[in-house]
Amino acid sequence: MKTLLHLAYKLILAVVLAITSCIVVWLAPGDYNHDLAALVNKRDLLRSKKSPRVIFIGGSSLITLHSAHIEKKLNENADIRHSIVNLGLWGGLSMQTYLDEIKPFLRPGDIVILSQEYATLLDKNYFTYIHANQEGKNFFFLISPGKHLVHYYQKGDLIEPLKIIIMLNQLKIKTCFHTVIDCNWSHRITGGFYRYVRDYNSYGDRRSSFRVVRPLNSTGALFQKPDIAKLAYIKHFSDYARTNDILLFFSFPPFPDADYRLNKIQILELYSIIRNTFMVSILNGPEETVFPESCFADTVNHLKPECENFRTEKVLKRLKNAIQ
Amino acid sequence: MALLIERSRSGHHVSPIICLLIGVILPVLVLFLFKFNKFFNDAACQIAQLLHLNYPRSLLALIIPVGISYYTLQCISYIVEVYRGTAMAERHFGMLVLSLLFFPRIVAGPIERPDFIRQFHEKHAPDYLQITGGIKLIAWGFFKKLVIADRAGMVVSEVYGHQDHYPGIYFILATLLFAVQVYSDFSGYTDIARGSAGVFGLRLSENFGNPYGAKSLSEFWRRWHISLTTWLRDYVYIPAGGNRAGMPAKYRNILGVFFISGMWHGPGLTYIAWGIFHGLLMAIGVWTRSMRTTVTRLIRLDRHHGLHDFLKKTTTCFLVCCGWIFFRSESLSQSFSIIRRILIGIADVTSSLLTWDMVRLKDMSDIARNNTILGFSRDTYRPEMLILALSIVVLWLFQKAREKFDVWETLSHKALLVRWSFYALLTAGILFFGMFTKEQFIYFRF
Repeated sequence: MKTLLHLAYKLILAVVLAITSCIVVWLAPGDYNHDLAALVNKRDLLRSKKSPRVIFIGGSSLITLHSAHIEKKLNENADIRHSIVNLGLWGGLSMQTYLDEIKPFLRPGDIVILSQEYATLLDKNYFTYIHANQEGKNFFFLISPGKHLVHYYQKGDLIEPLKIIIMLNQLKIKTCFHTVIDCNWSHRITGGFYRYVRDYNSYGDRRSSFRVVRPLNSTGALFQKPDIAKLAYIKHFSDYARTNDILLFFSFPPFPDADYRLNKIQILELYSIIRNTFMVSILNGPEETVFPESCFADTVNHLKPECENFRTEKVLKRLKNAIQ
Repeated sequence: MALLIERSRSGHHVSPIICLLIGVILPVLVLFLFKFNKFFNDAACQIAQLLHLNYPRSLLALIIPVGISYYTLQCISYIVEVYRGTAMAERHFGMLVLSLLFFPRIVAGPIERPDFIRQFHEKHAPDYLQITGGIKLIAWGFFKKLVIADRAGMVVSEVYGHQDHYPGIYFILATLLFAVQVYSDFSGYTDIARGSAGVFGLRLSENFGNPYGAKSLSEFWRRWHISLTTWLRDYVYIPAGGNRAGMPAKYRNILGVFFISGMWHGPGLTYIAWGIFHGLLMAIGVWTRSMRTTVTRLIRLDRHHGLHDFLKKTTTCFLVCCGWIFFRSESLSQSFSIIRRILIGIADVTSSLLTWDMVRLKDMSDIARNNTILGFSRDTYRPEMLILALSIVVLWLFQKAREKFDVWETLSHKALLVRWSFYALLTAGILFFGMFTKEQFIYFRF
């Protein structure tokens, strides 16, 4: 009996040590060498910018937007100065969760511009992929661990958060190794993506444009009819925005001409649902954001720099009109 | 059968040899039926298709019982030892089944001998040292599996799985890493099994003894999968005449044992080729032994022990790694294709270096595929490779230390702070560097 007690005491000590080491690594300053860790930086960016703000949120089609230009032109001779925040990151992230995550940081007077890629709205397979995607869940956990811990606790699942913490701790340590391998002693820790300072500007836009790849990826995809139940989160967010004095716009993403024609019926149906059923104001309609295929870099979602300038101007023009 | 063998000695009317034959042939047949079922089923299906016959493929597809390869060998050794009179037939059916199906070692060994049953009859009071020793061994096994084997496995699977994408020299890296993977994976499992048994106060036999430190192939086989090698020695090689029936019989026996060893791993031609490859090398080794000794003496290599040992170890490692190419490949044609690629790769690198063709060398280093490098994401592959290299060094140092002293025993006599620092490091190593994938142990499939 004494032996077993002694053993139990030692085992408990070992478990406590393991948990303590996990907590220490979790709390220790460090970055994560994973694109999705930029969620932390984008959250911090949103927190740091003064209200009223124009917040772009969506997938990677937004990431090369020229926010600095929009801010400059929007505030020219304007009574109210808006600051621009670009939260666009990756279409594979659950937009419902992303919108829930930013809610606590939104203030009355803010303008939210939602711009999701078509696949995330009209492709059933991609929708399933988003919901099964563990990486996205891990990094959403990183930006608000407390909230997610409570959520998992209520679900009675304490193993999942433990796995996520271990995975994120592993990534943090590997990123430390990366700093050592790169001899990057001047590296500034942001608590988010390892290369955030190098890759993104102070508005959250990607500094470099996408590599041009031909043939263009993901062309010729055939979408399904929009499923209202799966898009209901847009309606919920719209209701939330209305009750909190926040302006919400939906901006249709850039899309190649040929692919647009191929999916025109579904896209127009989506337009109708967002505009008429969900009562969300449209900033840019689908026809406005159709570009020739030569405008795209590597996928049907990513614009080349010259066409990005054109898209930015369009968004700016519409935004100016909407605010006035 | 074992009981019948014993009774036959005390005047019972059953011939012990018949009992022995039934006791050996029956489990072998069952093993053969399950292991080769897919092989024969596929072949029969193809023949049926050719003859336009309706073949009930799914009806005849059997699910292989867990650990059948291991407990079949144990059943045979039990019957044989009872027949030889070196072991008593077990009267308690539960004890016999428990020893055969003891959970830590059911899926991947070690293959125990009949005296293992005796441990189940002994009384086991909780022993603090034994339990903690077992836990330490389990932790070390997990370190080998999760930190080293699964990480090395990522690179191996990537390179072997995308042959056309990688220049030949990367197959050298992948094969070396497979050698590390298969050792860490299998010895890691053995450590976990031995540790788990230790927690229950039972002792399982050692299965590995630093095999890559062997100076010859025969020494390698005395250090690798010891329980299978000794089983084949005791129940196949020696009964077939061993090395007492002249040189031709000795070569035949060596080849036969390695052929069986290859077959035991599975019905694939790659395993059989791997077994024959080792058998041939062993036979050549025996045949050229005196010749090699003379050459060594002539060039006075035997006077430089350090260099001689190093050359022997390197050669052994090289030959073992050549064998692993067959073991890891999906098919024989893939094995030969990889060997050809390695040779071309070596020639490419050599000619590029000789002509100082940096552009060609740079081309060879461009191995990114689908935003990944050697199976890891672009962002993490360098830390992953660094962790892999460091953990292999840790493993090597541990093996070196184990050759000189019992690491766990020595550690248990150190100051509390030293001990717990080591345990904390080991736990942190598993927790922070372990690959928590769904990769199963390699030897589970055998």
